[in-house]
Amino acid sequence: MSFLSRLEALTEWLTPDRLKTDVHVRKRVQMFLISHLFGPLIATPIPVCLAIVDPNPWPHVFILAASIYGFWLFLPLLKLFPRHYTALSMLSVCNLSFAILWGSFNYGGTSSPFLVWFILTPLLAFLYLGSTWVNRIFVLGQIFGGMAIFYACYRLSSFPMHLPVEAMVVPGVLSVLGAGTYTFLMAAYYANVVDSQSELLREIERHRDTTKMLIDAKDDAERANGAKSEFLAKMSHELRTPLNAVLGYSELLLEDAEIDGRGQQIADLQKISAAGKHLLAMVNDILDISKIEAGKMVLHIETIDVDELISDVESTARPLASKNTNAFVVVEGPKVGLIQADATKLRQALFNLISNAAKFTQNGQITLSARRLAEADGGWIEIAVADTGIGISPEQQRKLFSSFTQADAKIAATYGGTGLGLALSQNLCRLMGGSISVESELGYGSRFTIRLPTPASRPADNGVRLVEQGGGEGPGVGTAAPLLPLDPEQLATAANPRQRLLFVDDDRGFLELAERLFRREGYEPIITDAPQSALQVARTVQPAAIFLDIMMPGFDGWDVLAALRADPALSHIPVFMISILADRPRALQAGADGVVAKPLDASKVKAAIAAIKSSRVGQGRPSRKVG
Amino acid sequence: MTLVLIVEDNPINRDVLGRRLERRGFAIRFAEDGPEGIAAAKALNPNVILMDIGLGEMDGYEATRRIKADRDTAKIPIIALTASAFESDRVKALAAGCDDFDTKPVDLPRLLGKIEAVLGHALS
Repeated sequence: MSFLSRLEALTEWLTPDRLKTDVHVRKRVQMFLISHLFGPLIATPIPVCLAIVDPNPWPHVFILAASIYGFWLFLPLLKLFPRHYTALSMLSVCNLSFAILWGSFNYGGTSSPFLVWFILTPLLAFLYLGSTWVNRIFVLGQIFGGMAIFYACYRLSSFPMHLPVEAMVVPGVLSVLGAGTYTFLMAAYYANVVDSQSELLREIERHRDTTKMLIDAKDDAERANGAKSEFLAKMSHELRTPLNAVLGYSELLLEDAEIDGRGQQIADLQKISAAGKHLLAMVNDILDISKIEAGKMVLHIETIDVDELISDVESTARPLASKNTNAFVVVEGPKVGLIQADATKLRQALFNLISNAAKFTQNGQITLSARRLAEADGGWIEIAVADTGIGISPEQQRKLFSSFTQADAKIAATYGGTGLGLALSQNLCRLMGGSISVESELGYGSRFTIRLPTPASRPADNGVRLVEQGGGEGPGVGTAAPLLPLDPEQLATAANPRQRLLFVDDDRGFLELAERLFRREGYEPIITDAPQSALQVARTVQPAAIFLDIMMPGFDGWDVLAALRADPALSHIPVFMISILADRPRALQAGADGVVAKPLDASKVKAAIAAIKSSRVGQGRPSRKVG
Repeated sequence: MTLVLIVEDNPINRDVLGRRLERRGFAIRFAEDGPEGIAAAKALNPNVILMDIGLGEMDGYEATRRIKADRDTAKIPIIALTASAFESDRVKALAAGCDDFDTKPVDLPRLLGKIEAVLGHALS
């Protein structure tokens, strides 16, 4: 083995760099080198033997030896003139023909034992140069040309016959052995190359099959997803039509019963009407959830005054909250100010939380409060709905935000509800770049908190908003564990809020890990497992960088990247593909700023973001305005 | 009295919506499909048309386009009613020339609000 590896190192060293780029050329050059290294060695016994046997070896044996050892000259020549590899190869084949024909002419003529070597010339020519047209013509030309010259020389001065036939036996045997060994060596080497190549082809074939399977699976998933959305839309339509009749006629009958004062009927009809409305709410929730899943939920993000929203919700939700003789308290506090969100969807989420609180609380209190967190914590607002109701156990809390999961079956029977409200509210808040969290103790009550990002910490208008607020709560530069090398924009704003990083991946385990890791590092990670909502989320939270997985079911990270790059509001945000390094060229070409590999290494990611930032600041790219 | 033309192919929907509106003091006329709706709009000149979208051969969008294309009926406000609730349906309805859009099941107070709005005055 060590001999082979040393040989490999030697041929490697002898191969000129410019012939290393193409793998096929490299293989041919390697055969050229091996043949030139060993050829003269294998042929050595012939001139040696002839010099001993022939009483007058001068000059024909010495010419033969010069021709044979001349092959070694090709090694430095190739190193010096790699550009002329083809010419050197042809010259080498001609030299071989000359040596063979010279030896045969001087020792035995057409019955010379050296003539067997001649069949090697086309073999070597094709090994060195491949099967091109030029090469085929050259090979045929040198066979016919060589033999023609050979015959012409015989006609001119017949064969010299330096040795009698009996004296030719030993050199003849040596010659045939040498030719056999040499052919063996080259053929073995060639077979080896062919084997490894066919293994490579098989591997490529396997990969092609796998890729095809993956593409088929992706297409199937997309088709299934499309079919699902279509089915839900159709089903929702079909359910609404009979509901129209149920709700309409029960209202008519209810009016009649009220006019006639039929008490029991009124109560019954109210139940029909309530059940119909419940069913309608469920259909609407299902439709909303399927819209979010299909990426068809359209948000109307606008600037909302949270204090106004709260007082508005207070008046509309009071009857709802006061059900079950509960007190409804709205906490007065410092002004919360503005956020960027969809007012209708935020209101929907809040109503859901208040309705839940009222449902699970008897003779208690429901508290609605809102506050703005310090800029240092990333610029969030929190709206909390707390109750003094039955509470939720830790096990139940875990399943709380999944679709169609109520805390337990008994609760569903007692309190009703679709089990969709919380999942939907959570999804809506995620779309707005926020989330809903829960704290609860069994028997003492629950507290649901909606967290939404504020426009104040968006890099684009950092300065303005902070000045408006008087900058009182924002800490100075450096106190909040700044994460990246100082950013001129942040110096200008005299505050250093946590930077938001958006992670888009279908693997929730990975997302949660990334969230923990980067929160510890002082960032504000925002995670989503719904690639279709990535753009919406990015628009809302304006992250400092986006990290995109490539393979997501029914969705492709490249598509998301293209969409991000095409959106003028988002194109300035650095995007990193979560992938292997081999994807880097494609990623850069598609407009990404880099590639990070799983598992994420916080320090590498930090360095990557810092590099982007400094290069952008350095180039003075007008990516963001300083307030 | 405000005359409402309901273009709706489903007899139950026609009946229930018509009776609810009658009780609120409207005069009601029905049409069962698009062509009948267009003819009724021309013949009756109603104050407002409630147009179902999922009609048979000619859908509500097309009927709306034709009513709005006719100079005699172009000024009649049309409110589209559909059981589908996608944003795209609203856009399509408005693009076809509807003055407003509402979803089924009909929420009567909401629909009355929209009728008032397209009529430009409060209903007595």
